[in-house]
Amino acid sequence: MIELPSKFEKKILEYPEYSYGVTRIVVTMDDGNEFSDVFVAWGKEIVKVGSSEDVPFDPLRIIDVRRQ
Amino acid sequence: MKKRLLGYVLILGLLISSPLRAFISPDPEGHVASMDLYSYCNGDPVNAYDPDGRFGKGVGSGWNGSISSTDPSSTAFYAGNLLGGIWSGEAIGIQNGLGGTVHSLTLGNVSGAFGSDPNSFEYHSGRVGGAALGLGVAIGTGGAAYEAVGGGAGLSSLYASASANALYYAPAAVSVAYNVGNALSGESPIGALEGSAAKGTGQLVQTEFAFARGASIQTPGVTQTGEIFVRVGATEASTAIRAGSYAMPEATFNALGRNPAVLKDALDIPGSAPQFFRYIRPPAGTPIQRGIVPGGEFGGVGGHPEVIFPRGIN
Repeated sequence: MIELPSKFEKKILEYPEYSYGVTRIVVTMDDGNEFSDVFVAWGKEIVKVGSSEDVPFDPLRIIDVRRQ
Repeated sequence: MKKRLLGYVLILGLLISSPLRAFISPDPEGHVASMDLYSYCNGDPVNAYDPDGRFGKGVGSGWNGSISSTDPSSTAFYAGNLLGGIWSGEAIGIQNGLGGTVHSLTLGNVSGAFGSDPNSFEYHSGRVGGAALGLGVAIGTGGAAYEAVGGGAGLSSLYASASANALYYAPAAVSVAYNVGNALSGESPIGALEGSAAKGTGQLVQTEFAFARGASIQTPGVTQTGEIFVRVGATEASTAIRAGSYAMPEATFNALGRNPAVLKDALDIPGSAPQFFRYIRPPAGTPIQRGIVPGGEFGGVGGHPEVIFPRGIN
């Protein structure tokens, strides 16, 4: 299971949920790229990106997250 | 006192364009009158006007009595119609003409402070502070959803206040009025929510919140007295009820049992199975949406009752 850096957990938990325990967010990488449809459980566990369970980015390179 | 100045007229400290008949200067009342110095015309001094120096009125607006707007997102809907009507000290009705749906909001003899934040897209940013006389209405707007919160015995208005007046408005042309007139009429929030015939109350139509995937069936409503819900989570922090949080009726929780694997499957929860739970006892009248877990998206079977608290619980 791939997790987001813990520094984003509190922020994500404040967002309205997509479904029970799940938040849908956009992540911004350190190179400026963004990935949308990132589904996060309990504010930290990346459960899928788009329709795939593969995570196409390095969570450690995320510099920001926002609600989608 | 009026002064002509290059085609403009100075009336009561507001600069008005003679050709446009519109005030183009900030509201001299400053932030006392509004959070927004241009709220007297809702930031649009050309399309909204303010002939008597109190509040702007836009196309289709009226002072007192029933008013309507075919474009509920128009500035007139808020800056002109609603505020003007409130300030007029007489009951007003708001008709949302879009899609043929009409929702009514009746306000009694109220007066109060107001403000607006039409440029904000933060859901809660429309919340503005309270009634000057304790019986007022505060009005705020936001991008994704609109809310108005007011009331409360001269204190800053809070949604949680039992005497708060509130107006919700969603861009999906579904408006919600509840608790309106409560401070004035002394009606209980439930009475107001149910749109009782009491003076100062309005019809309730709660918006369906777009941010949540929601259950397969969403029935907007409010909590009843004594209702208990349970929120489960994989961490203690994730059991808090915030705006847009899901939970389940206590009966569902009791029926499923305290088995993390069963809960994960029944609620279609991905990731770690829930290890924590929290009982929630919201006050009667708390906005809520009820439905059934769709199931399948995250491998769970779903099919059990779940609820969403669109406003969270303080």
